Amino acid sequence: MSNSYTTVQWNKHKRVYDLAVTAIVLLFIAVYFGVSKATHLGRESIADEILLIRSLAATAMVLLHIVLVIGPLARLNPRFSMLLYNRRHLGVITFLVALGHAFVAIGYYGAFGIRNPLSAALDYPTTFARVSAWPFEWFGLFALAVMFVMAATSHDFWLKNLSARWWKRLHLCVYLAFASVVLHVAFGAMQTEPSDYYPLVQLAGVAVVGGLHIAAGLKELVADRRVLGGDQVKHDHAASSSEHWIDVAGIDEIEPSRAKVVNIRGCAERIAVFRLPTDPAISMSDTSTASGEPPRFAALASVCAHQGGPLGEGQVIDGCATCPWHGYQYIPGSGCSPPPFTETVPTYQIRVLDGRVLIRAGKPAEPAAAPSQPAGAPTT
Amino acid sequence: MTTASIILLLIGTYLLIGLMVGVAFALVGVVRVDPAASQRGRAWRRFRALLIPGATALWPLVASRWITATKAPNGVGTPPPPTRSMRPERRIHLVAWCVLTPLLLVAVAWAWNARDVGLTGKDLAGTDEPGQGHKPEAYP
Repeated sequence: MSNSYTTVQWNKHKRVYDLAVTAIVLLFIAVYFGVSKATHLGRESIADEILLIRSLAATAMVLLHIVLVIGPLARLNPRFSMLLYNRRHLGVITFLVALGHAFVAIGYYGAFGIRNPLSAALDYPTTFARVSAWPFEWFGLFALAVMFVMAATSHDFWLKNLSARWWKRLHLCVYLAFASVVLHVAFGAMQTEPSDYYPLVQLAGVAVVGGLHIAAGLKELVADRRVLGGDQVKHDHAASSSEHWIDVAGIDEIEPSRAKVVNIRGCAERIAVFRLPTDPAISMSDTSTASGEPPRFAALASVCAHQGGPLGEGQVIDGCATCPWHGYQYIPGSGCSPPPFTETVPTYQIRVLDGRVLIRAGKPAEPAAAPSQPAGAPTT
Repeated sequence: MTTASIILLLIGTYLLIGLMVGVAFALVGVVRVDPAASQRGRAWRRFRALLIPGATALWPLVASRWITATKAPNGVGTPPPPTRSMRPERRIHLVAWCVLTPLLLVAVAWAWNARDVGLTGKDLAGTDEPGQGHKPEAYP
């Protein structure tokens, strides 16, 4: 997000990423098609159109599973955060493959009559008496519609104008799309496939995706419930008696250029307490100890203004607190993105007392809006 | 008219209205709602075109925001305030998966168990013939 937009925020890395994913997708489709054709010979041979439908479906399913496990993996282990890079493009590719599957299937099953192909493919005598006769196509159509809305609103324009909260809520609908796709397979392909391969793979897929999401959600729940604010309250005798300062860490507990994330009673979100390098140009190492200067700290809300990413899990790069998800940056003292960018996060008063880092409890300071300047590309 | 035809007609009508609103929004309304979209240059047509699918899908919201922006004193809209907490979304996430995961596991297991085990792929070969629909065994 900035004060200007580009069509697609491609850079060299994203172009390579997209080309690589496209090549892998095409290779997967070709291999699936070729292996299926080679293993179904003679009387069991399958029409090429059906093989293409199945190849596209399998590819879309695999992609959807990958898209869905990236988030919880990154929450469970920060080493996987790099997978979040360009995840939106991966989601759009998933939608395009699913659209290809729907296009070929509707064309093959519905385009040979006088009726509208979509209507012909969806509208046939059905019964709920037998599972194999359920209208499973509607589950697929619903999932495709949800994925369309998500792909269509994946641009930063929508993220900014819907707000991160409502954009996120809209995109949480991918869970419904996933559920709908699983039912589409369970009541569709699984019913006409005599082998146990489909159900076993599908059960494993649901267990892995669901298990990872639940594990990540529980980890977040535990972090949200670990609240400071009782025994950790310290009174600064030099300040007003009404000022409450919360002891969040010893000065050596926080790694250089990193943050400790804390919850403070009464605060709407977690707070990231960053230990700043003495020289802002130095990002990955801290010279404060070597130079003998006391370490400096800054406290910011741990929610990135871009997509609500965990700012406190990032690090200080080029003197700015940097979100690990998409690289959005904030000046530690002000909470403002460096010009020309305009994003802001709230900041909290902080001080060091007796070797401990203290945060002032209460309402955060909303940073002043950054001056509007000509835009450049975001820091992603 | 069948239920499927009625549903498809409603979806088609929604999308047709959405397409008209979306095109108008990309041409005119977008700069009212978000002045940052008013830049010119070689890429601005592609950027505006890229907004049409989203505006088509969310046209009631888009129209509402457009009208609100038009009524604003300066004639342009203001973006919503930045999100300062994601706690509600984290709760939604956990609850959603705690509900979905067991339900989906049961549904897949049930669908697996309820398969027409007497029918083989060979028996169902006719279901994949074009123009025959998927499930001739369910036809009267």
